[in-house]
Amino acid sequence: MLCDRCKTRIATIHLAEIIKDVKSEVHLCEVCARDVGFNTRISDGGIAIPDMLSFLNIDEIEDSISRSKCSFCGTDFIRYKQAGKLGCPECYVYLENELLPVINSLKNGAEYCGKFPANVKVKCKGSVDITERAFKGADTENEDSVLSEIERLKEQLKDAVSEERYEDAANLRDRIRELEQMSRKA
Amino acid sequence: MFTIDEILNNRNPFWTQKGPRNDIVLSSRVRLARNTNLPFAHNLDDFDCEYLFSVAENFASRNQESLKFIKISDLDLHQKRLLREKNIITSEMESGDNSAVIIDKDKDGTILINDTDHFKIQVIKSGFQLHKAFMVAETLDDELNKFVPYTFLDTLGYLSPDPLRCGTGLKVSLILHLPALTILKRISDLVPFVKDGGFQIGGTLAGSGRIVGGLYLLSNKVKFGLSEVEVLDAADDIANRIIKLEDESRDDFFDASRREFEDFVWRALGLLLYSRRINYVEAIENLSRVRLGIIMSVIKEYDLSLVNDLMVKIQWSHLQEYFGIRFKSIVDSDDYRAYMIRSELTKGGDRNV
Repeated sequence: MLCDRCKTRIATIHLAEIIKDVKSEVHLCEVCARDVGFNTRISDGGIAIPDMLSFLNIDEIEDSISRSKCSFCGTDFIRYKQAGKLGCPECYVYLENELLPVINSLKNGAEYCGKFPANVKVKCKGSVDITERAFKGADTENEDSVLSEIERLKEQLKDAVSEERYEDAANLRDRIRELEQMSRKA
Repeated sequence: MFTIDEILNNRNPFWTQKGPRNDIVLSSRVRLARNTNLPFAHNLDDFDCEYLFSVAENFASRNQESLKFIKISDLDLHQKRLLREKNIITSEMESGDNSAVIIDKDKDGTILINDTDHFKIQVIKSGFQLHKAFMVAETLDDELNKFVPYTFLDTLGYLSPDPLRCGTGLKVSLILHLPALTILKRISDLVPFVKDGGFQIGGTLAGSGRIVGGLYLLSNKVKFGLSEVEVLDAADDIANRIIKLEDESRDDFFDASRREFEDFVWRALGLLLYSRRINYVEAIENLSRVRLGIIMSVIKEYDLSLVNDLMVKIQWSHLQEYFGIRFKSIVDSDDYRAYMIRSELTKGGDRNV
């Protein structure tokens, strides 16, 4: 369930209020709950409401999802939901299924189309393999010339930046990106 | 080799340099968040943290002329706060002890280490020049990437501790000076198109994000599927629309009542010139008005860079540095602030008013 307020993060805090037999419900993520000032402690019990509710949550979740753990750092989905953060990059592999709704809400049908690092580390079982295979199957000679062209352009780009020719640099950058995408799709 | 003192006492920081559309855009900042194959920053134990630092230190040591690696825990409270006031490190880094920073003197950029991400490449330029800041950040990014592998998936982009921040890792922000839109209560006109463009606008006061002195922070919200260039172009587009509206509002304010406008800016200058005790917020509010007066050529005695510089130098640690003392109380700093502003304005202006 997504947070009522930001509509992006998963709601981990659920409140229900019954006034004159009319029940109203609010579902918030931790960040929004904090934003709206929801950190009041119960005066005599000394338990923070979010703490209490997150315990309730765990019981709910335990029934419904498997308790897969990241074998690298030990983070499971419940810990992620509490902290809003994953433990390490490997979590993306080990918790892939559990994270799917979160990832889908992030991507919203879009594909990644930004920069690629120089060393694309293969971390995921799925789509990266396809790229790899495609890469291996490509015409190696052509591949080499494209790669060396990229290297050459990168040198030029460095010069352009150091000489503050930013317009040239921008053009070079775009050209490099084009070539990189070509070689990846080849 | 250069020292931490050189960084702390930089005579030519970005905010005193002239940049495009400096009358409205104080600075352009670009940040690239990157992570490597270690537990994420919040989950790093001491051993891994030391490893991350040693990698960063190694990277910096390859170019000692330009790069300086600094562990935040090696700094005293005063130095940490100075770096934060200069916007070199974040307030989280100032209060925590597990982070470090690499300062690139030549490129005028920094790499924040183990803040929310393992690495955050940050470049700030004076005025409206996001593309330039991005080009520099990207060069620094490539250099670092030759040394450190980044975790990345072609389906998700650069991986982040928070799955909802995966993607290009690009965060752009601009500090905008919008006194006329603020006075004429037109800021709410901006909100719809800023929001539609995937951006947000808020105040600048450290810690609270309160709006002071008509200064605003415009920044992008993470939106998956946009390339870096698309984000930069969207930022340009939105900033240009805001600039146009502020320009119009300045003219409206000026034309509607010239006397009122003049009184508004001169009164602020008077207050700065003669007060004996002034807190940070009051000082910023009045410097903001004087800034507007200079831009609209009503106040001709001062240069814009003097006011820009004062806006930074009236902060707590900068004042301590200026006078070479440590304040005992807030009132103490308010007295010194008034004294500093007075003497800088007297020194830096042509005062045949």
